[in-house]
Amino acid sequence: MTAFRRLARFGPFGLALLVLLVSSGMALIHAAWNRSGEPRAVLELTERELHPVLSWTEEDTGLSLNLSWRALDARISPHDRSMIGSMYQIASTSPEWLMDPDRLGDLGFDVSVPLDAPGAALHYHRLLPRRVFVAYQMEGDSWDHYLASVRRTLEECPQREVPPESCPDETEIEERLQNVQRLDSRLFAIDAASDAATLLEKYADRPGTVVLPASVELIYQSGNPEEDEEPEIRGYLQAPEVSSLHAPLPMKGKLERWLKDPEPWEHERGPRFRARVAWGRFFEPWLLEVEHLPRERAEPNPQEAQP
Amino acid sequence: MTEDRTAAQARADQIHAFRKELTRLEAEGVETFSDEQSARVAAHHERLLADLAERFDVDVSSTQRQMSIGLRIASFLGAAALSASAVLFFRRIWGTLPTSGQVLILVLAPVVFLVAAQFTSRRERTPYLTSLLTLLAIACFVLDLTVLGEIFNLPASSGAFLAWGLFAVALGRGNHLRLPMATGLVSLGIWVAAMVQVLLGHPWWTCFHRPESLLPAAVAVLILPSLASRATPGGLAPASRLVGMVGFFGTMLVLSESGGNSYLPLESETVEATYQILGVFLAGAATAWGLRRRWPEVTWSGAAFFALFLFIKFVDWWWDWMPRYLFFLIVGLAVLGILVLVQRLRRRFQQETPT
Repeated sequence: MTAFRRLARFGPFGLALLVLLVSSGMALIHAAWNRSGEPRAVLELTERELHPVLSWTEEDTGLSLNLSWRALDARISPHDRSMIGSMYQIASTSPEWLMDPDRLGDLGFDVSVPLDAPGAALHYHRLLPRRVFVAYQMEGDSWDHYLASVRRTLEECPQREVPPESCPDETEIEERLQNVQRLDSRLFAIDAASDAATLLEKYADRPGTVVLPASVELIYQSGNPEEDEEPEIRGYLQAPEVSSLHAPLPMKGKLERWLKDPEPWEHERGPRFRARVAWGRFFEPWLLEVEHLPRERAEPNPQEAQP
Repeated sequence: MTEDRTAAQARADQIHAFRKELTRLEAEGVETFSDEQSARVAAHHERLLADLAERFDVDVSSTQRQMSIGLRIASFLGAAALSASAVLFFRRIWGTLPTSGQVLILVLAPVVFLVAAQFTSRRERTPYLTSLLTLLAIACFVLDLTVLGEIFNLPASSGAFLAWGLFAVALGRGNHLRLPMATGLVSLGIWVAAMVQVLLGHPWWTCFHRPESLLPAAVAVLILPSLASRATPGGLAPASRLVGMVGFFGTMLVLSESGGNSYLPLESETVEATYQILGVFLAGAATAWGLRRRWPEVTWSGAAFFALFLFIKFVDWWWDWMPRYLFFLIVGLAVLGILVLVQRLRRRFQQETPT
């Protein structure tokens, strides 16, 4: 307090210095407090779930890893379908379990207006996104369902409204499924609630699960009476609140060395590193350790090998 | 120091205006002072100007004034370039430093520039170097909190806007610098808007989805100099009013084009029409208010927004079907109309409150 009084005597200069020191100090104390004690969750992830972030300038020497996640999407878009097995990241998605108006009501959205009421579009378009807590699971049931749905999607291709020549044949289906199993993120958003305690209690005994804050946006679609389409609302899940992990110096050096290896989808397939990530008391993550992964060398395509 | 400098510059300008007017009166044959009185007043003014020039480095000629404007622009450009350099230099080296080294640099950099700004504000008679160092300190403080968040994987927080706002306002107020003051008020405005959203039960960052949450802060900044003159002395009051005007009418302009982002429980088109009408009416009223109170920054920003609201409406009404020459002719005539109207209002207020 004496130091504060001394600073206050310096007038605006003292106030500016005080604001600077207090706010920087609070950020550091917050970070230390988050990491103190037993972490809420520790997950072992690989490059499949942690994508290196490309820097915005070549002169930036920092390195971050971006948390890559997915969800069993109610509607796989043609673009997403074409990207299956190519290690792509999603920014937001509409999981099946966010299609239910009651569930959206539990998350805090005002869903009291009937979807076909005259003012429904105005009401639902005006609803703001909500901060919620989401349970993410690593290699759980959702991952198994995802693999099955990918196979189904690829095999059902000729029945869809696409030219038959753009559908994959059996060999390609198998190859893309192998790619999915080697490359796609296995971290799935499986549930959401308006408070963390509900999810922490519900998934306390489920290994590989982490609860994180994220936001959900509500989308209203008016439907098309001519095609018997009913109006509907669904939630769009955005990325976790903190989805970028900074790599501190010792780990950054190792990661940079390993990232010089060929990309995961090239001849030496599969992720290049594994990392243990912890989430602390404020649901904020940090890297515990990183490890190099041995990689499987894929057979070169004979057609590509010909000169 | 600088507040006194503002007052000193005003006094020097007054002396020059007095001398010019006196010369003119004498040329027109009006009897003014006796030779002895003229000599006494001239000697007094010379002493005063010499003293003001010595103590506050005021501009005593129009050439010096033009050079001062140049110095002010150079100081701003220098601060912008040095801030970019500081940010890029840190980004260049931070990957080679341990976390403790990164934190130390991030916290110490704004402290160093803050102390340097304080030092120059006491040593220098002109504000240019102090202004440059103050802007550099603000840029380093923004870098400090942003990168601490990155290093420790912290979520974005509205508290950062409060800290940046207080820091910049304190430095702007302490050294009587307009740009840091304006920067700080913008940052505090965002924080107030964020708090409005939190009070309404929404995440803080939804303030960017609902521009109306910015309106209370904009109004507060606009009337701050009238309510608390000690908080915005001298040249800081116009800066505060200008930030308030841009915040208030800028928000209304956005809402007049995207009614879907409004809190009003009305159809988007109705919201847009409401803000268009309100915008034109209030911008006109603000122009008149600025003229009456002799606040040029309010007068001209009000007139500019009035013209902008009209122009956007003209585009909505006529752009698609009207020949371009006719469209721009109407826009030009409308602007001429605004000029005539403002001139008339100006004359009317001059007659009401003669100086």
